[in-house]
Amino acid sequence: MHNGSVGARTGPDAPPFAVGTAAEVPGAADMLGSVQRDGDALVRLNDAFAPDPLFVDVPDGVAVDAPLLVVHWADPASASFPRLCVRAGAGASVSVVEVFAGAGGDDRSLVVPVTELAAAEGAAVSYVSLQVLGAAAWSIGRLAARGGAGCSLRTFTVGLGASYGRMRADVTVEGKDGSCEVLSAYLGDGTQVHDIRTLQDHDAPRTKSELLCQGAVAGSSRSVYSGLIRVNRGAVRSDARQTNHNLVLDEGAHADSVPNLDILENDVTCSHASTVGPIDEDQRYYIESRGVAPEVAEGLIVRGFFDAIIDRGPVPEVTVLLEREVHQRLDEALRDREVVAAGG
Amino acid sequence: MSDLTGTGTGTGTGTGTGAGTVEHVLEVRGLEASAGGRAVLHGIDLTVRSGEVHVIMGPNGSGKSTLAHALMGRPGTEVTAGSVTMDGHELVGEPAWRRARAGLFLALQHPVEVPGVGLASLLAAAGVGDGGGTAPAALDDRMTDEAKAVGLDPKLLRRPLNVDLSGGEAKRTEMVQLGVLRPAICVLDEVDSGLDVDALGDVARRLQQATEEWGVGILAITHFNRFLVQLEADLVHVMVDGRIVATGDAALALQLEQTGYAGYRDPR
Ligand SMILES: Nc1ncnc2c1ncn2[C@@H]1O[C@H](COP(=O)(O)OP(=O)(O)OP(=O)(O)O)[C@@H](O)[C@H]1O
Ligand SMILES: [Mg+2]
Repeated sequence: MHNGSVGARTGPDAPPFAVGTAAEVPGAADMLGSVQRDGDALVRLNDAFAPDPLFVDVPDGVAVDAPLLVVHWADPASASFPRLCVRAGAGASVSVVEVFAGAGGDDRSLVVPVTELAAAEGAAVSYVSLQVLGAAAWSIGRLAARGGAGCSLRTFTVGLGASYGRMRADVTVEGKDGSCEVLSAYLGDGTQVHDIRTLQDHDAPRTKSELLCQGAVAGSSRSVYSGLIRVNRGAVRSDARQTNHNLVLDEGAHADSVPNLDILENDVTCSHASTVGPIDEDQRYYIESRGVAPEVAEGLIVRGFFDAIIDRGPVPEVTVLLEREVHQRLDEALRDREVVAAGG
Repeated sequence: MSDLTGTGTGTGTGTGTGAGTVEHVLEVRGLEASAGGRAVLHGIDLTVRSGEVHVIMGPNGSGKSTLAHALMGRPGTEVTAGSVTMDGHELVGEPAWRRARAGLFLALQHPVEVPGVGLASLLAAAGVGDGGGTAPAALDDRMTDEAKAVGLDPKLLRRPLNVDLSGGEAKRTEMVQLGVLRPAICVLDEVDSGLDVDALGDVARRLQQATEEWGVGILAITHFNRFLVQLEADLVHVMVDGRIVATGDAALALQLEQTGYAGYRDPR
C-alpha cells in the first residue's frame, strides 16, 4: 500500500502544523493508540503491520485552512494496514479526507485501516473517508475519534467499493459541551456487503451527538447497520440522536437496521429512527406527475437521497467528488436493474 | 344549479387566449373511483376547456382530492368506471407521467418532501430546459419570475423539494412548477389553503393571468370563496359524497360560505 499526501508543504511558508511519518512528526509516538485504546485482533494487526503510520499534528489555536488529502492505494492481492493519526490541539481546527482505492477488477486485496482523531478542548476536526476499493477487495475499517470539552467532531464515512466493506466508527465525547456529528453513506450492488457499526459514546455532561447513516442496496447486495448510543454515568443532560435510512432498490437486496441504547444516566435526551424499504410511493408519484418517466424519477429520488447526506458532509471541498462517485455507481446500479426488469 | 355536466356554460372559453392558442379540453364522464379499496367517487361528469375556471367546493371527505388523484392517475386511486379524456385521448389506464405529458398538471393538497432533489432538477427532468439535470439559465430565470409572481423568495427555489418549507411556501412552489410547465389543464387541490392574505391575492392573480397568457384551463378545489375574489370562476361545482350535486356561477361559492353544505347533504 502506498500513501500519498497532498497539502503538506515545506519551505519558507511551511504550514504551522506537522504532517508526516513518526520520524517527521515530534510526539507521534504519543498519538499512536491514544484514541483507539482497546484494540481487537484487527486493530492489533494494524498496530503490528502498519508500515508507516501517517501523523497530522495541529498545535493549539492553529486553523488549517485547506483540507488534507490522504490517498491509500491497495496493490493487487495485497494485505495492507493503513494508519492515520490526527491530533488537533486546543482551539485548533483541521479537515482531513482519506481515500481508499485500489486496482479494482478481481483484485482480492485486504485493507485494514485504522484512523484515530483526537480533538482537544474547543478543537474542531472534520473527517471524510471514501472507500472505493475494487469489487473483490475486503475492507475492515476502524475510525476512532475522541473529543474534549466544547469540541466539534464531524465525521463522514462513505463506503462504495469492496466485496465486504466494514466500517466501525466509534466517537467518544469526553469533555463537557462537546459535540459530534457522525455521518455515513453506503451503496451496495451485485453481491456486495456493507457492514456499518457506530458508537456514540457520551462521557461528559451536556454532550451532543447526532448520527445519520443512509444507504441503498441494489442487486443482491446487503447492508447491516448496527449503532449503539452509550450515555455513561455523569453525562447528564446529554443529547443523542441516531437516524438510519435504508433504500432497498431490488427484491434480491436486503438491509438490516439494529439500533441499541445503553443509557446509564437519567437526565438525557435520546432518539433513534430507522427505516428500511423501497422508494417512497408518494415521492415517486409526485415526481412522475410532473411528466417524468419512471426510471428517471427513480434516479432523481435515489440521487437526492444520497445528495441530501453528502450536502451535510463536514468537508465541502469534496462534495463534488463524493457526488460524482456516488452518482456514477448509482447510474450503474439502476441501469443493471432495468436490464433485470426488462429481462424478467 | 342542477347542470351536472357543467358543459356549455363556461364563459371563458377561448376568449382572451390570443390568436393561435390551441384549444384543449379535459372531459370527465361517469367517473367512479375508489381509494384504498373504498368506493369514493360515484359518477362525476365535468368538462374543462382552455381558459375556463372551474371551482369545486365540498365538505371534508366528500372526495375532492380523490377526484384530483383519479384524474392524475395516482396508484392506489382506482378508476372503476367512466372515462377521463384530454383532447379526446383516454387517460384512464395511463400512468401519471403520460397524463402530465398529455397536458395535465396537479398541484397537490399536500406537496411531498423529496430530500436532495432540487426544483430545477425536477423541472429539467420534466423536459423543461435541456433535460440535463442542471438548471440552464433560461429555466432559472423562469423559475425566478414565477416565484416573484406569487411572492415566493427565489432563494427558497434552491431548497430540496418541499423540505423544510412552510405550508404556504410549499403551495407557492407548486405554483412555480405550474408556471414553468405551462400545462393545458391544471387541477389545483386547495392551492389556496395555508396562504397568507397577500399570497392568496398573488396566487389568484397569477392564475387569472395564466388563463390568458397560455389559456390554461383550471379546476380549482377550494374551501374558500375569498380565493375567488381575484380568480374569476366560470362555474362552481358542489361535491358531496362523491357526487357533484349542484353547479352554478360564482355566486354559488358566496352562498355556500354563508349557508354551508347542509342543504346539499343527503338527508338519508
Ligand atoms: N387511501 C385511502 N384509503 C381509505 N380511504 C381513503 C383513502 N383516501 C381517501 N379516503 C377516504 O375517501 C374519502 C374522500 O377523501 P378525499 O381526500 O378525497 O376528501 P376531500 O374531499 O379531499 O376532503 P378535504 O376537504 O378534507 O381535503 C374520505 O372519507 C377519505 O377518508
Ligand atoms: Mg382534499
